Order: sequence, then structure tokens, then C-alpha cells
Amino acid sequence: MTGGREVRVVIIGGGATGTGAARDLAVRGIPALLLEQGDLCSGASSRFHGLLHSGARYAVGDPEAARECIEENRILRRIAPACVEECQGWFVRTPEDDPAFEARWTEACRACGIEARPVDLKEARRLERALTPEARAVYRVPDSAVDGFRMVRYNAMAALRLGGRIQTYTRVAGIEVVQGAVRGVWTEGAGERRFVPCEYVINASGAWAGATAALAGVDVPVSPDRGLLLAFNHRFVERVVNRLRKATDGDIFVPHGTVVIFGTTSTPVRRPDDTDTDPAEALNLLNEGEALFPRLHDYRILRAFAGTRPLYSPDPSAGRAATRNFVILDHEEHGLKGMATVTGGKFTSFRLMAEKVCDLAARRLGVDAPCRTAEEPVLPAPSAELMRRAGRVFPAGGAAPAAARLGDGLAKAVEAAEKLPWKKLLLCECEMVTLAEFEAAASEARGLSVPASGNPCPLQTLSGRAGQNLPAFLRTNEGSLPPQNLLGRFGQNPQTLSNANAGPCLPQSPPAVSLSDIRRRTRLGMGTCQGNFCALRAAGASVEAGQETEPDPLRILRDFLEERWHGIRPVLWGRQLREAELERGIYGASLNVDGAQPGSINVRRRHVDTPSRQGTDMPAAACPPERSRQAGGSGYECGSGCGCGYGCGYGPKHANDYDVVVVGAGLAGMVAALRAAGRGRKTALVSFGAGTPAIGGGSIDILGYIDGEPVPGDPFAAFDRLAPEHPYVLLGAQAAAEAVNFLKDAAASAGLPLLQAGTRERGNAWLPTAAGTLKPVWLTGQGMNPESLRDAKYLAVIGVEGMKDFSPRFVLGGLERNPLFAGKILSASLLPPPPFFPETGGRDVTTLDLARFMDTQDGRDWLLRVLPGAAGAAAAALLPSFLGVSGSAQTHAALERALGISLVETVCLPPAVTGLRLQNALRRALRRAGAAVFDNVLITGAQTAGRRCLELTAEREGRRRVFRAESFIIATGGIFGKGITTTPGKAFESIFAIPVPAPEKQAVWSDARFFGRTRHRFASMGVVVNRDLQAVDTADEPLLFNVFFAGRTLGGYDFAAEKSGSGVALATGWFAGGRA
Amino acid sequence: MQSNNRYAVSPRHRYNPDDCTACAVCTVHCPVAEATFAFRGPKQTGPAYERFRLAGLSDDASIEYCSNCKSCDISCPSGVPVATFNMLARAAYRDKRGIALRDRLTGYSGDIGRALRRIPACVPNFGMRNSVSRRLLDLVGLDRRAPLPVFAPFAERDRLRKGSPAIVAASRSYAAPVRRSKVALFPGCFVNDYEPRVGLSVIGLLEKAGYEVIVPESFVCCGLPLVTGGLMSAALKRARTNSRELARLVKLDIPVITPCPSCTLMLRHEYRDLFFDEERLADNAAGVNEACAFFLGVLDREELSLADASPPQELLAYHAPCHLRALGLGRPGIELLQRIPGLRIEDTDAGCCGMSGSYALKKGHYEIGMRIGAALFKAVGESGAKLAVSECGTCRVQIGHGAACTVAHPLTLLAECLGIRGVVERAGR
Repeated sequence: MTGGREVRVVIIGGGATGTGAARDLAVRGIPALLLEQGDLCSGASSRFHGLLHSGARYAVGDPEAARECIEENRILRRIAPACVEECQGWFVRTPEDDPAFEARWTEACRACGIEARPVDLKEARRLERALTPEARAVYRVPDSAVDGFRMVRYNAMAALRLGGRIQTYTRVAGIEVVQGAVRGVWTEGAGERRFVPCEYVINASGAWAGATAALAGVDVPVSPDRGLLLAFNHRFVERVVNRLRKATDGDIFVPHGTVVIFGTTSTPVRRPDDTDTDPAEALNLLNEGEALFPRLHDYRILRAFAGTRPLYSPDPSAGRAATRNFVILDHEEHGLKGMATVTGGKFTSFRLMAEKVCDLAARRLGVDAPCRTAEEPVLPAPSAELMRRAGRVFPAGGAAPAAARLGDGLAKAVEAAEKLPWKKLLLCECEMVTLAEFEAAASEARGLSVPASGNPCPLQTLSGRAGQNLPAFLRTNEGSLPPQNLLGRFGQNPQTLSNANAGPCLPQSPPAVSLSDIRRRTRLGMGTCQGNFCALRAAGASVEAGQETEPDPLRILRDFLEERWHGIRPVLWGRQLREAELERGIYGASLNVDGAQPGSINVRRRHVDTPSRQGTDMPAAACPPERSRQAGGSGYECGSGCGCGYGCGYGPKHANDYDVVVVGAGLAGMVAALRAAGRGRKTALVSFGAGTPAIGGGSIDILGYIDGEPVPGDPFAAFDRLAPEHPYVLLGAQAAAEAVNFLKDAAASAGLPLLQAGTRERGNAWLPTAAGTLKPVWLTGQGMNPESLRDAKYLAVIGVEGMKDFSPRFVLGGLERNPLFAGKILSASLLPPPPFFPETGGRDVTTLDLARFMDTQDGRDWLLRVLPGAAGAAAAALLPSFLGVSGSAQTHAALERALGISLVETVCLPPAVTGLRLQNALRRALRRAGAAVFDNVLITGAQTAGRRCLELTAEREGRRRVFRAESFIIATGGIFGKGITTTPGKAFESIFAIPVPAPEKQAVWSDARFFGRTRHRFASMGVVVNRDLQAVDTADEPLLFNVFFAGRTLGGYDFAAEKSGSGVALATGWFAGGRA
Repeated sequence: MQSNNRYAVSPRHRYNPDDCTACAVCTVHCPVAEATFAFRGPKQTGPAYERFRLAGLSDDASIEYCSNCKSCDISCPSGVPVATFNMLARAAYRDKRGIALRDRLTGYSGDIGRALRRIPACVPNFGMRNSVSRRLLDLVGLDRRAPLPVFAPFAERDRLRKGSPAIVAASRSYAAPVRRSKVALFPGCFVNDYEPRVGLSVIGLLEKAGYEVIVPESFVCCGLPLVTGGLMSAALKRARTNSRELARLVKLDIPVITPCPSCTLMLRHEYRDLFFDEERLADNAAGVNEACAFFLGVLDREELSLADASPPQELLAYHAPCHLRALGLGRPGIELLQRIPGLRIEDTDAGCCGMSGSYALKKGHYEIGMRIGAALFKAVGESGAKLAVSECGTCRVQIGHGAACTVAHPLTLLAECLGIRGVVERAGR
């Protein structure tokens, strides 16, 4: 970059128009600096449906805009093919839409030069299978999908190539005006205030344009208008689908890579950053969209998001009626020389907007270079040679999407992956983002956010001028201070300013690169799991890459999860709520990212909002639903003489009957079946899926937290502080303690002795996790002895090169901050990649793979060879939990003996080796106890008579199977396990359809913060039971006498926040197995 | 009764990956992923890449490694048809790249057997199994170390085709039964060609229980080998043929039973899962009975008594085939055998055998198959049993190969216990 070169133009705003202008000026050879308060494309340029309009949508209402659109559409498809997905678009008229409009529309399209060809309806149904069969007319138009993130970054890269300059995370705090002419801008970012002299300012700050203009004392009436969008998990439509009617809410579907974006709405808002969304709004939108896609409610919504359109209108209530055309305001006409504002408009016409405003700027600067942005490609396509190399390092055809995402960063990523094979590992499996791509994106983002070291702009720091020469905006704009969100405390308080060197009043600088910055560049965390798996990996990777400026590495992780949560929350029911429960399971229950750490000062205050059964907006638990009752009898005595004891109607004999049928093979179900079988009951365990132990189980927690505060001392003694509906309170501490002993005996006899880590005297043991936190546990596997850590003075945290799930430096960062580790010497190191490490294309290595390796002699020899080098003089080594799937205590002890140090396994990301060990052991025990195991059976309903269950039915697509028994134990899990089904504003138990108390208002199901102080209401939703674990009605009468509920199916507790999941599963499973 | 689980009853316009939470439980339980890193694992190749496939993006060679054993489907807590995704994706992948000769050989093995049915077994057996042929087969991709199944003697194959041998000619038709009721047998290709004795045992047992058995001529291969070979349209053709025959039988109220869990799975589940386009195709196939489960009913109804059954061995090792587990029927085979007095059964419960139809016959997959089966071979060996039992034909071949023991179908054993026929045979080589 040309150090010391002048800046003639400052562009404010890093959206499509701003970066478009940066590219335009760079092409013209006018030196310009773009300033953006956040990251590139963090405003409306990424918060829209991603439709590259053909103009057809505007043909009737706004022919001028339509003509602009079709022209720009053609240009962008030509100059930025990597940013545009040429999927074409349809306009579809449903029976509800006015046929007269169709005629006007086709005519208007013709007049605007937009090709709209009718599509045969039968052909349309064949091509788009999800589309309504009721469609009355379908037209094809040249709509396309455009990737906003990518387009903006491509503009920026093009500008940078030509010497343009861009600086993100830099706010414009003031615009210096002297004698009616702009002289420069005041910036604030990276902990510094600077002055950038310039001749011209282009205000391209979108919905913020009014506030920016106010800095120069100019009035620009821009009203932010919020549009809500929904992102769906899979691509159920291959083309853009518009509804053929007068433009209104919810009539555009745009396929984008792996997802579909559906929108939108129009709500005037006061603040440009008001992008909050509401479930009710999302549901309205869905209802609207069903006209085009009848099964829309069945598709999984990943998240809801909103952007604020900059509507240029003197009338703020105009909404959709306000023009979508852009305006260019030459402020010279308002008496201010050297500034223009470009606003309004739409993404499709950003290039034209940039062209026009740059024409103006160039004219004012006396430069006569013409605009060439419509002719030249934004970025040249990567060479065939580079693409060939990329094809070898990006897995499964991921080269093309990665190349498109990376743009100029591709070569760097390919080189990195060629050099080190583990750079090919996928950090984000849902969107196929490799470590190499992650690092390339991080370096791109960092390059933009940090002012170049050579001080490229002739900047003067404020301190030199403070006191004598206040920033211009304070002088020009005294009457109306700019809004707070633009200026922060700096703008509000000129007193502090004059005190000079006023460091403390500056906002804290953000981490150099946040995971969200990388997300915008790579799609990290934007797929199915919304960051559940990649958040920890990416946080670890950014720490390993040594770019943490953030003292608390956990904050990188938390910030990202919170950012994801903001969009998940409005659509939190059904499948997305399951995903959120998985997230709470991983980051809450397993990794304890949310809980206050023992001995640390950040003990959180008590939560204020206890979910209560009798909450005002909750329906009370009602009687069993109609169909359970209709089966008949007066009570549970059958009296028909069939011998079954209840009116079953199945004839005199049921050779297939069981005494006990347990549904669900998680910890609760297995323990229940084991105890029932051990009591001599003829027991069947029916399972659909393998249960959650292999996801995050293995160590047994009893109770770690009450109301966000760590439980001091004996957790069993703390039961009486719990709410009365808590399963522990229903069963009592004695039962829970017996259940623990039962499990210890059962596991030991199946070859997996568990370690009593916590004690009644000292309370819970604290076990380190892969997130660098400590989590409270009661029983652990033999390899997880926290005592070894207590005694070790020198502790080595050891990961494995290329095992992305565990970053030792990340763990170290967390442990170092923990007072319990004060005075210890901690180190972080990596073992070399194991010999089986896949060189090309293969599967990524997890703890489970290493554990399987450790089950072989080769594996153990390898560990003995490499570990001493990594551990140095440490007395104990903290490892991911990979010391064998068998988890044999002898192997562990033998390794420790041979190495001469203690080996302690940590809690890791799924798959959980520790949980798999326990699951295997309990399955062995079940087999020995003679319980019949039915895999892959989904119980879908039940036959009941009076208050007794006769049989469970498994019915799936025409196949039906019946399980008859004397008693039933339902351990089907909660929201994640599908034992509890949720729909907007409703929750019910899945087999018997027992209503589960839930707020009708969806918005209050969850708290605004994922790891906030207030509990999520959904977290403790479950079946309401009595002390016998029978579901009860409002009068506390059992609904079904012979059905017992266990595990997360029960309500009244929050497994993730309390760290009580396996304890409750164990205690209730054990109790139910003894009762049934 | 209405189902409460919405997705279980809703008609699907197409499978989609929406139910997947990316929890990775399927990859934990995937035997192929455990045995080789070349396979990216079911979560990745299944639902995760499906999102990319819908966008026309993913083109993943590791899809070739899926053995379609269905362990992913069995372990998935979300009801995602992971293996179905893989099979559909593989078919699309191979459509683009062409299908290897070896996949055609194994895919069409049923047709090959059918073509050879009038030919004495020694001809194909010698033709296939001599060292020169094994080298040639090795060249086209069938590993020369792999245990090729052996064609059964012509007489046995011929007898099975004719159904109930002992009774009047009328019973071989669809006409009303002379005895209690009629049952149709779908033997499956493996039983047809390599182990007709399993089918003959089933017929013998059914006759003893008072049924008449027909073996409809028009039944063809269920199509599963074609599906795993990526020959989806050929499989669909078979499905249509079988579906027509099943419709006829359903109309006549004749139950259909099959001793092969993989055929049962294909008929009962996969017709619907794979050929979701064809309405009604799967309707009649959904009612096909797994033979052991059917015999549990026969015993319950006291149509057959095990009182004087005399087992040839005291101790058996039992292996539950993956496809049987995927059926969601529990373990009817072991339940059946447990009712034979004086017989002890060790349920090995050691996971997949590694064969998965013809998977481990193929070059590059043979070692994977042997690694997968190692735990099972060990468990069979440690059980101390001389005889192993499993419902699936190719599991029997693999266990015979890997654990070097005799392996039988539970029903041939049951038939022998009841003195119906001396049918326990040595599987493998």
C-alpha cells in the first residue's frame, strides 16, 4: 500500500453501496478511504433476501426502478459471476391472488423490457415439487440470487487491489467543516481517535445515513424500515419464487447455496440497529408463505433475522409506499461543500448508486475519469491451475464454494492446506469450512480492522489537539448531538474530551477478529447446527493461531453463541428447539460454559424468574386427551375374564406380554430396565436411536448449581433448597443416593468401575472441560480423577495436532484464570498427529478415533513414545478423553505407570467417549440381566383404558407393532430426545399427548441471552408427575396408574443450568424401575 | 390410533435433512467409519452433504464406502434416514461416473442365479471358484480372499422353487388351501441360489404347523443388491414386479414370509423410503413377515409344539444382523431359539459382521469388512459355541469365513430340532 498517500475521499459505510463506491473510485484512480463502524456488510447489505431483482417485482408500481433493476441485473451477472447464483426466478399466482393483476403485470414487464415467459403448470409442478399444486399461473423471469456478503467483500477486494483503503470497526465520530466545506473526518476505533483530512465525504451509511449527515449538520430524512427474513435449513426450492401480486409481506423465496431465505416484512422502526425479531412476526410470515409452499411449516427454520432498509422519505410512516428508488443528495445544494449522501434504493442497484455518487464526487474534485465498473469484472476468476489445486485440498466438491467465498484469499488458503494436511479439517461441517479457509478469512478480516502499521493516512491523534481545537461536529452541530449509538460516550461528553488523553472513556476494543467476522466471510456456523460444534473448534483455532487479544478466550466462544442465539430465539420450537437443547447440552451441561466457576469472583446473582406451573399465561395440565379416554372402561379393572386384568380385548393369552416395557435407551431408560430386570420382571427395552450418553454423557453429575450459584458441600443435602416440583424433591435424597450406588455396582460388574469423585464432606468434584472451565461432577470414569490435578504443581494441557475438537491453549487460557489453579505451572502443547492421520480427503479425527487407536497396542506404544516430549516435567497431563473406548482402569494405570505422570481426561465435544463407555457397559449389563432390546422402534401412540395403559404402538408408514405389558416406563427424553414435542406456544408429551405446561406466548419461552441470568422457560418444560413418577392432572390425580416417567421427559428441572441431567436420569430411572 | 409424532405419519414430498441435529451419534455407531478414515462418516455423507447436493454442489467419492448396514439409522435419535440418503446419493454419483463391473456382478447376482438355475451347481461353482477365475474376478474388483458363496446342488434349488413338496398339486397354486391356510414364501436370492435348505426348512416347519406353502414364480430379487450397487432404476423395476405379485397375494389374503432380514427390510421399509415417487408401490410390501417373527406367532398360537424338540448342540452363539435390528422387530430369532428346551444361547451383540451383502467381497472393502467383523469373530470364538446362528445369509458367510465355524439360520436349526430335516450346513468355504 502506498504509505503516506493522501486521502481525497472518505466513504462512510461498508455495505454494498459504500464498497461499490470504494471500487468505483479506485477504478477511477481517486484515492479513497472507506470507514465502517462494524465489519463489512454487517448492515442491511447482508440482511436482505439476497434477491438479484429482474425488476419484475417493481414493473407495475415503479417502472423506473424496474428498468434500473433489469439493467443492473445483467451487469452484475456479468461482472461478478461468483457472487450471483443464476437460478432464475418464477412469479406464481395462487388462487388467492387477483387475476387482473397478472395481466397488468405481464404488460408492465413487457414495457420495461423484462422477459416474463409463462411456464406450463404441469412442468412447473415437476420442476418445483414443493410448490403449491394450486398455482394458477407461473412465469419465468431473469431473477437470480446474489450473495450480499460476498458481493460486498468482492467490491472491497477489488478496491484494495487498486490501492483503495478500507478500515473496519472504525466509527466516524465527527465531520470537520470549516467555512462551509468539509475538511476531514474524526474517527474512533481500535482504541484511538484520529483525524483524517479529506476533500470529499460520501455518506453511504444506509439506514444510518441520517445520523451520519447530522454529523455535518445536514438533515437527511431517512427512516429505517425493518424487514424480517427466515432462513430455512435446506433448499426446498431451486428457483427464486415470487408471488404474483401487488408487492406485500411474505412473497419472496430465494435459494442460496444450502439454504432458502424467505421474506419479508416492512415495519418502521426508530433505530437503524433495531433488528430484533419476534416469534409472532415469524409465524405470521410463515402463514403468508403457505400459499406458495403448503408444507412450509414442516421445513426447519434455522433462524430469523432482520435488516433495516434506508427509506428516503419525509414521511416516516410510508413503509412499502415509500419509494425504493435511491437518491443522491448533493449537499453543496444545502450549503455544505464536499459531501454527498447516497441512500434509499435496493441491493440490486448498488453499483449504479455508487456510480452516480462517484460521478458527482469526481466532478466536484475535478477528475474526469469515467466510471468503468460496469465493464470490468470485479475480480478475475481464479486460474484453472489454482482451482485444480483447490480441488485436491477442499473435500467433496467443496472447492467451488470455497473459491467463491474466498475470492482473493483462495491462493493463500490452498497454499496453507497444501503445506499442512490438517488445515483441510472441517471446522464447520454443516457448511464445509476448513481450517485453511478459516485462517484466510481471519487474516482478511484482521487486515481490514487494524490500521496498517505504517500509518498510511496522515492522521493526527486527538490528544495533540484536545482542549484547543474541539472536533468539528461539536461546533457545527451543538444543538443536536448525533445519536448515542454512533458516538458512544465520546460524543456525549465533551468535558471528558477536553481532559485530554482520556483513555478510559473510549469503548473497549473488540477482539481483533470475532468469530462473527469470520462467519460473514465463510458461512461458519450458518448451517444446520448453528455453531453447536464449530463454535468451540473455531474459538480454539483462533487461540491456537495466536490472535487472541481478548484476555478471556471463553468470551470469543460466548459472543459467537450469543450472536447465533439472537436469530435462533424467534423460531424456537420443534426441530430448532431440539438443536438449541443440544447446544445447551454441549455448552451448558457438558462444558459448563455458563456456570460460575468455583472460587471465582463472577458468581452470578440469583435468577429472578422461576418458571412456575401456575404462571398466568400457562394452561394448567389438563386431563388426558380425548382419544386416551375413549378406549373405555370405568376403571382399571377389566372384568372381561380374559385374564389380563384389564379390558384389553385381545383374547385369553398374550405370550408376548412383558411385565415392564421401558421406552428409551438413554441413561434413565437403561437404568430403569436394568433395575426392573434385576427384580425378576420380564423386561423389554424399546429404543429409537441410541440415546444421548454418546453425545455428552459419561460422568454423573448430581447437582452443581442452584439458581446460578455453585452448590457448596454435599449436593444431596441441597435438595431441600430446590423447587417442590423438582424430581429430586419428589424422590428425596435417599433414593438418589441409592440410585448412585446401584449404578456404581451395575457398571462395576459390567467391567467399568466408576470413580467416586465427589464426597459428602467436600461436595462436588470439579472436572476440567475442553472449554477451559471446571464442571461439577459426582461420579466419573477412572480416567477423570480430579484429585490428580489438585496434587500436581506442574500441569500440562495436551492436545493432538489436527484434532480440532480440543485446543490446549484455549483450555489453558481458561484454567489460568481460575483461582483454583493459582500457583500452579501450566503449559499447553500438542502431540504430533497420530500415524493413521488421514492425508487426503478422509474423515476428521475425533476423540473417539483416538480412543479406538488407544485400544490397540500400536496406539498405546505411540502414546508412550510421544507424550513425554509434550508433557515435559509435568506431574499431571490433562488430555481429551481418548484413553480407550473400553475405558479399562488397568490400561489407564499401566499408561500412568509407564509414563510416570497422572493422566486426566477432560470432558470434550461430542462424541463423548466417556458416555460411550458407560452406554456399552450398561448394554452389557442389560443383556446379562436378560432384558429384551428392541432397536429402531418409534413408539407413536398408546391404547389406554380408563387410567391404565394397555399397550404401546409403534406405527410408522403403514407398519404397526404393539407392545403389551403390565407397566410402562417412559424415558423417551425431553425436547432433544423427542419425548416432548413442541409447536409454537404448545408442548406435549409425545406418546400419550399429555399436555406439558408451556407459555402460550412463544416469545417468553426463552431469555434474550443464551447464557443469561434468567432461566429459559423451555428448559424445565416436561411432564408433571407425583412422587410415584406418574403423570398427574390438575387435581394431582394420576392420569395413568401403570405408566411411570423418568429422565428428561420430566419437567421441573433444568439439566443444563443445574448440571443435574445424569443425576436426575439415574435417580428417576432407578426409581421407576423399582416401581414398575 | 393416530400417531403423535408428526413426522412419522406425514407424507413426504422428498426426504430432507431437516431432522438432523448434527449430533454425530450415527458416526459413533458406524462400523465403516470405525474401520477406515477413508469414509467421511454417515453424518457427513448423509444429511450434511444432502444440503449441498440439493444445491448441486457436493460430489463426494467417500460415498462409495457406505455399506448400507443401517447402523446409522438404528442409532439416530432423530429418525433421519441416513443410509437412504447415502444410497440415493451413491446412485446419483455413479450415474455420472458409470457403474463398475463388480457392482453389476453383485447387483445382478439374483438374476445371474436365476439364469443358472437349471444348471448343475458344480458348473458355476467351479467356474467362479477356481484360482484362475478368482484372479480374474480380483481384477474386476472382487477380492480374491473374500468368501464367495457356494451354489447349492441343483436338486435343492429345484425343490425350493416348487414350494410345498409333500402335498397335493393344487396347493402349489393360489387356489384355496386344502389345509389350514396358505402362506407364500419369498425366499430371497441368497436362499434361492446358495442355501435353499433354509427355504426348505421354512416350508417343512410350516407344513408341520398345518400350512401350505407356495413359492410364487414371479417373485424376483428384492432389489437391495442393486440399490447398494447404485443401480436404482433396475431396483425400481424389481420393486414394481414384486409389488404386483404382493398385491395379488394380499388380495387373496395370503401372508408372505421371508427368512432373509435384508429382503424383509427392503420390502417393508426401503420400497417406501427409496421410491417415494411411486405411489402405492410400497403399500403391499409393508406387510411382509420376517420368518422368525412369524414363527413366534405360530408357537404362540400353539400350531407347533417344541416339547419334543432335541437340539443338536447345547450352546449356540447368536448374531443379530444389522438389517434385522433396523427392522425394529427386536430379536425374534433368539426369542424363538430360547424356547427350545435344553438350548443355551449366547447373544454376541458385537455389532456388524462386516459383510453387508456383498460389501466385503469387493476389493478395498475386504479388509474393512474383516476389521469390522473382528469383534464379532472374537465374540463367537469366546462363546465356546460350535455352532453360530444368524438370520442373514451373507452374515453367515462372513462369520463362517472370519470365525471358522458352522453357521445356520435359526429356522434350519429349529427344523433340525424337530427332526424335519438334517439341514444344518457348513457355511463359507
